[in-house]
Amino acid sequence: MLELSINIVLNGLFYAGILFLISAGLQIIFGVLRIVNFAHAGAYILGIYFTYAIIRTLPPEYSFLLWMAPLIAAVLVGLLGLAFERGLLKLIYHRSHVFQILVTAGAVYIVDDLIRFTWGGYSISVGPLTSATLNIGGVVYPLYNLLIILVALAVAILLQFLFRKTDIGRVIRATAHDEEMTKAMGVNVSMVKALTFLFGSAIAGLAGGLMLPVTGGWPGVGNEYLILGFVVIALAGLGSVNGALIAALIIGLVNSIGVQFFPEIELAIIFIIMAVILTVKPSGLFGAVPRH
Amino acid sequence: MLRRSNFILIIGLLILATGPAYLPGFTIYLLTYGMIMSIAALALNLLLGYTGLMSFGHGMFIGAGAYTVALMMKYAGIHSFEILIPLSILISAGLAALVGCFCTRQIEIYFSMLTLAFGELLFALCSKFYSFTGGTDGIRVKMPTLFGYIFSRGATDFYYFVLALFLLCTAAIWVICHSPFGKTIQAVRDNEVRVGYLGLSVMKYRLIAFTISGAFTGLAGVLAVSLTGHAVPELFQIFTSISVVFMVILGGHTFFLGPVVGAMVFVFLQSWLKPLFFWQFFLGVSIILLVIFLPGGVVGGVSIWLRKALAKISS
Repeated sequence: MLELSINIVLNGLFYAGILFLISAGLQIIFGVLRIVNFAHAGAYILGIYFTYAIIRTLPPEYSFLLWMAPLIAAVLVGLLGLAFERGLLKLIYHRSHVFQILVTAGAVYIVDDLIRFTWGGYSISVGPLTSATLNIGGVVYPLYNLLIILVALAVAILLQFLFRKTDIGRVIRATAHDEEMTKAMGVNVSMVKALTFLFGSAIAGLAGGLMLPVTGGWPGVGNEYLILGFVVIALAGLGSVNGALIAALIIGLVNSIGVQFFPEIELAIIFIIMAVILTVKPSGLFGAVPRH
Repeated sequence: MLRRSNFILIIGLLILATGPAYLPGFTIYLLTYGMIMSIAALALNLLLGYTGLMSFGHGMFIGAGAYTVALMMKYAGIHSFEILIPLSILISAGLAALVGCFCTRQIEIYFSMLTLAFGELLFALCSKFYSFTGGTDGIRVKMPTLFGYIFSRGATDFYYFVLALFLLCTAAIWVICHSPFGKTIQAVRDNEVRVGYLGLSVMKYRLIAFTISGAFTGLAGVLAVSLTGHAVPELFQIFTSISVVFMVILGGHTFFLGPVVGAMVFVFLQSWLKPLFFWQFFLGVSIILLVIFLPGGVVGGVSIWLRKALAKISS
């Protein structure tokens, strides 16, 4: 019984970690750009495939660099995100959210087909980076999954540090809070938006790269995780990174319990919980009242 | 004097009415499908264009209509449109009312995301309950009958049946949009605070609009699955929903018949380009180009172009 609960908690934390990595980017992007970024699915899947490409092409003598692959992929994805923001999103900041969603969703279609074109339509996988396991209270758990939990935790702490202690973080928060006023203070808001999008996309790319050895990848995988990311941010309230952490933990643990005991309806449980919470509190757990 | 737009409308109707006489079979199939999707797009535009709410979950009503037909055939042995159509409209409306209770409390992006999530919920349920819904394999559907009359797939009798329903739905949605109720939802779209001050319940009007929209989209689901013969869980999913949204924007959401034009253009483009490998790529590029360069949709673009051309001629 104890072992089962430890297992459930660990799986829940693992799932929560990935969900947090995906939704944190969504939240900072929404906070600053006021756009629910469907293109995040593209960032996630590009993270997977870039990591795959790096691992595949790395000569064996540099195999110690394998661990860096998701990080390199994240940087690449971030740069692509930057190009996307400068080239396209910038043009539609003043438009209604319907158009913004359509443009970011359109970007996902393009990315999915380009991936199909470059790497084929079938699913890809790589061997585990490490098959080491750790014995926690009698439960043998893969070390790699624990590492993902740690990375998610590290990103959460880093984001806290960034937002509370650094100038760029404070400017990002200020822009999210009141764009006009921040602009009036002489901040280059356009630059802040570009940087935010770069950060957000890079985190999603990192999440994808880290998940490659666990789930593999296939065209469309980004969409499945994006939907879960949406559930997390809707539950958290749009724009709140800390809320995303809590919501990701809730969804992660609920999913882990669901998989264990009600495998048929695990996904449904998540959506039902979301529906219930949003009925009680329409703006989400940590969300401000929606702006009219 | 006949107005120009009416002139175009009459030509369009004439083509639809006489098409089977001279158009090839596959074109007729596409026209049938286009009219079915037009019903869904018109229904969606009742929300987007008239109520100011963007649903990204309308696939769930197409799915609901389709699976009502599929499950009724599989388990109850009902094969006739006269039962299936009212039943699935009822079920879609019920689903819309239920989902709407949650969603219409939200506005703008929050509404869009919640409708999206509910669509995915139904998709998840539908693909997981393998024993009941056939899971991801879906369910094969035979063409239903109408008061004992057997449609032959590929022949023109089903085309005219769909044409009749399409005209009926278009007329019904037109009446709804131009009724006092239609004016009220437009007022909700333009200024909900003021509507609230007039003593009207904004949420109630949103919910009713959502329910009506869901009911019509459910009908489109019934017809679509009868035409294609296959109910699959993907119907509930985001790809279907975004396709319908795209049709509306493509045609022009500020025009009553814009969604019809959008649906037709979409269906024909899809049939030409889907055999090619980069259909999704093309779809993505055209969505982006459309949003940036032609926000009024095809109808908006053409009407501006026509006006300019005519001004040039008359000057």
